[in-house]
Amino acid sequence: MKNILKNRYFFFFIFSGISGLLIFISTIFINLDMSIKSLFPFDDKLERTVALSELSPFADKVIIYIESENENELYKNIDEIGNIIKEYPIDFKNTIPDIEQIKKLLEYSETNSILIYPYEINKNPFTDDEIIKRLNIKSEYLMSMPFYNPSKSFFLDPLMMGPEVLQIINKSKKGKYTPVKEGLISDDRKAYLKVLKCGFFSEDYSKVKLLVDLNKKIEEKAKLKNYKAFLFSAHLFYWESLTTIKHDVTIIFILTIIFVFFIFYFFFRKIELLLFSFLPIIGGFALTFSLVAIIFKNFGGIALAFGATTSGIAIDYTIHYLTKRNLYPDLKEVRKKIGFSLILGFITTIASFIFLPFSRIKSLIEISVFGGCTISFAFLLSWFVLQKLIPPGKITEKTRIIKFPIPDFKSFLIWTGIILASGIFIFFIKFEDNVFNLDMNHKKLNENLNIIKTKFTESSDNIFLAFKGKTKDEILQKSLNAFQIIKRENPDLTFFTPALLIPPKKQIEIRKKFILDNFNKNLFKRNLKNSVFEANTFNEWINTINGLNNFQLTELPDFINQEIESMFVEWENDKYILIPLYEREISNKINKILSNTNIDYFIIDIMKDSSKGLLAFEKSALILLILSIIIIFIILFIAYKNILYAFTSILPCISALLACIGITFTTGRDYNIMHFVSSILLLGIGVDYGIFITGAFRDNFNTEELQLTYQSIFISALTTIAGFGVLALSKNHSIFSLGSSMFAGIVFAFLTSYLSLPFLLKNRNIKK
Amino acid sequence: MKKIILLIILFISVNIIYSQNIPQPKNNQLYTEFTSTRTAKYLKKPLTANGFIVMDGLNNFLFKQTDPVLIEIKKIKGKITYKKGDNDPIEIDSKAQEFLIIFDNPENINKNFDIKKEIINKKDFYTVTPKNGSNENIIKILITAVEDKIEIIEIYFTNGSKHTYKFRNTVTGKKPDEKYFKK
Repeated sequence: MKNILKNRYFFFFIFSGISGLLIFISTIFINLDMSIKSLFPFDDKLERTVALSELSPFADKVIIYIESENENELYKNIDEIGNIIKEYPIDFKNTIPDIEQIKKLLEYSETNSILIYPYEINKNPFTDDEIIKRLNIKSEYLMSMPFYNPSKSFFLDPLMMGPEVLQIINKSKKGKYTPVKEGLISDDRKAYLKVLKCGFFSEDYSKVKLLVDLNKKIEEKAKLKNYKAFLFSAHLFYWESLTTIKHDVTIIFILTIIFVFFIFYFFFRKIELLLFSFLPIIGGFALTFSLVAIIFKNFGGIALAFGATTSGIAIDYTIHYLTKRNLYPDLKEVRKKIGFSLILGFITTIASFIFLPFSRIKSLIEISVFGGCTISFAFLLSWFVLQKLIPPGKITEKTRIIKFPIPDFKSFLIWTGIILASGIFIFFIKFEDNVFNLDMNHKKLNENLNIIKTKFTESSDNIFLAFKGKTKDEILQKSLNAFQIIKRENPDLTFFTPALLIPPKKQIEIRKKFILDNFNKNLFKRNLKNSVFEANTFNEWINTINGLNNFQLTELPDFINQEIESMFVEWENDKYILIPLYEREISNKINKILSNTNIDYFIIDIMKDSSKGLLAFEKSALILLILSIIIIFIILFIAYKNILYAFTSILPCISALLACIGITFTTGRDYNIMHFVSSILLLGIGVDYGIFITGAFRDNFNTEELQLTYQSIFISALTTIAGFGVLALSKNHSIFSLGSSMFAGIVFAFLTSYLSLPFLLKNRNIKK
Repeated sequence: MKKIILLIILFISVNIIYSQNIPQPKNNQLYTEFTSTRTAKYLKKPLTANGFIVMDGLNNFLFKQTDPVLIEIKKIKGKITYKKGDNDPIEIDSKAQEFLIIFDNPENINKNFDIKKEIINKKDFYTVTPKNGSNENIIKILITAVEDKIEIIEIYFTNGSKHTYKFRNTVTGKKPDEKYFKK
């Protein structure tokens, strides 16, 4: 090893080559997870919400939207876009039934009308008045269908109960059973919407790419012909986030490296030194990447973006060593002078990462692993390899020295003023309750969503009314009970439960009893006599009632059966039904009514479900932060056995936390998970600065040593800002939050270390 | 006398021809009033209805039943809508309204139906029968026409019911008022 280290250049190239190869191979095995779900603070409820949403019948929903100047143009454009879609290799399935399918559903409703009619909430059809009225409607129906030749099912529903059930269903499905060109037309007849299922989910990126290309083609075609057309789906949001994060991470990584190189070269002015000083970082990344590739199958893009920035922290140990190494004759002496501060700084930084896994948030756990590993490996490589590779006197450079003015009482007052001013922001702190605010701003997609919402009620909001049970029958009964309550409370409010078409067993028995108690054959026959129909027209129906106990529902038409089946999902040995509610407003109204009942239900709404957990997490995160400060303080106190040293060491990170809170206000954002991440990091980094300044005064450094300590902290702050500050350039809100708060925090940590600590520690030494 | 009878038979047989088309109004322009009668074994007495039909080209068509129930079936630029009373119109498929086949493009009719034409006493009698499997509802449609003016349409359904349309005040070859095709 010693011989290898003697030939520094050989070692550098071998080491860099192996590290590069390890990073390259590792990236092949790491699947990047770009979803923002990894930012959710998971509790049982949210875990269920996310899992069920992914299994929901709408998870692969794709909306086609077309808008033209007038109805005629619209019809032409629907055909044009239809042709483009047909040519594309995606197997779309329409969720809106065609005329033939609706005919079959009508036949089913008529044939089974006797049992599917909701006697519990609709009028009793067997009263004298109702029979007269309904027989008239039946004959009117015949007269209003001039070329209609009644099929068998027509005669199985004399009281028009089947069409009434279909009306209820059509209303609950937002008119999807009165389709136009297999889709829906807006009230102003200028916009068209078609809802398809594409058969793959948002994170199946290879297929999503096809959808993105198709959307591009559709948009181009529409633009060329002067109308509006686009696809809309959750897939496109995921894709935009993926491409933006990938792009941002690449740019951030390159900028970080360039800035750090530039800062390094500016101060040390020797390319050779610069190359060797990067070995711990390259090696740290290589080992961390390898570890991640072995342990994790999927790794978050956000954690990786963060990981790129840890180079800003990892290089601090190298900077401190390089800045001061030539002040001392040998490595032993260097370690004696600054080794304690380096090790203590490393321990406290790692200590701050150790708390992240307690959040139970995937992203934070990944950040903890990636950050903790990179910094640890980089520190160890810096200590055991770099320091031996370039011991004191081995490479002599003319370090650029900045003469820092000696801070005095005035500096302390300035610092106090800054801290007090930023402390005011604590009173304005607001916590983020919408996890989607951590994603990027999908400007165009949100505009498209608003266009759709103004014309139709269809949206990408995956909001479901859910019922859980061990059997489908149990679930159907629960959903039907809820439906009945909703209808009684607010007849305009509705949702589609399959129980409307396939009532649960218990309900069927109740209805059979109702029919037998209320149906009077003579009354019906008497009224039939006065109608246009022959006396024996509905005999089969009467026979059905006579043999009601043996009556079985017929099989559902295929299309509706498939739709219903897709609404049932299984998760953790339980069955669920997910009923789309389309709008948050409907969900709120339904929730308001059902919450006052004993119905066993829940609403799935990722945004709402995550907000409660998010707020709870953010508040508990603050407690975690305070805990971290206490733990770090204890470590420092144990190390120094002096309360003032422990206090001065921790002061920079406390001021950095104030800045972090302040920046949430000044950047117009609420305190979110990423601000918490940066708070934890600022604890670790800020305390390093405090330790070095405290160490300098504790060990009675001479002026040159003290100046170089300021300088090493200054260079460290600059490289950290280079690492994190560039994150503020990201369009992704979570990465921006991390970058901006780290930037402000590091600036404050440095100002505290430079302006206040020397004043506090100098007085202490005088007293001593 | 025998010769005359033979000549008549010959005349009739000569005029039983397998026509390619049912009568189309001149220039596909039509105004006619109708009375429809639906007879079926499940009805005590026939149900009658009145209304009118207007046509201006194959893609502009209006069927309006004025009593006893107000309904409108419109085909404007190929799009067919159905409207009952004051309700909003809904778009329908031509397949949902068998009657419209009569007013469809002759090529489309011939795809699904065999058409036989007889001429008796200067009147044209058409027998329209669905080709195998093309329509499970209709047994046959009988059409009586004089030149391009249809007088009677009788639709015989498979369940034994019959639907008859008798037309009067028929005008062909004259462009109808555009108001009929306004939305």
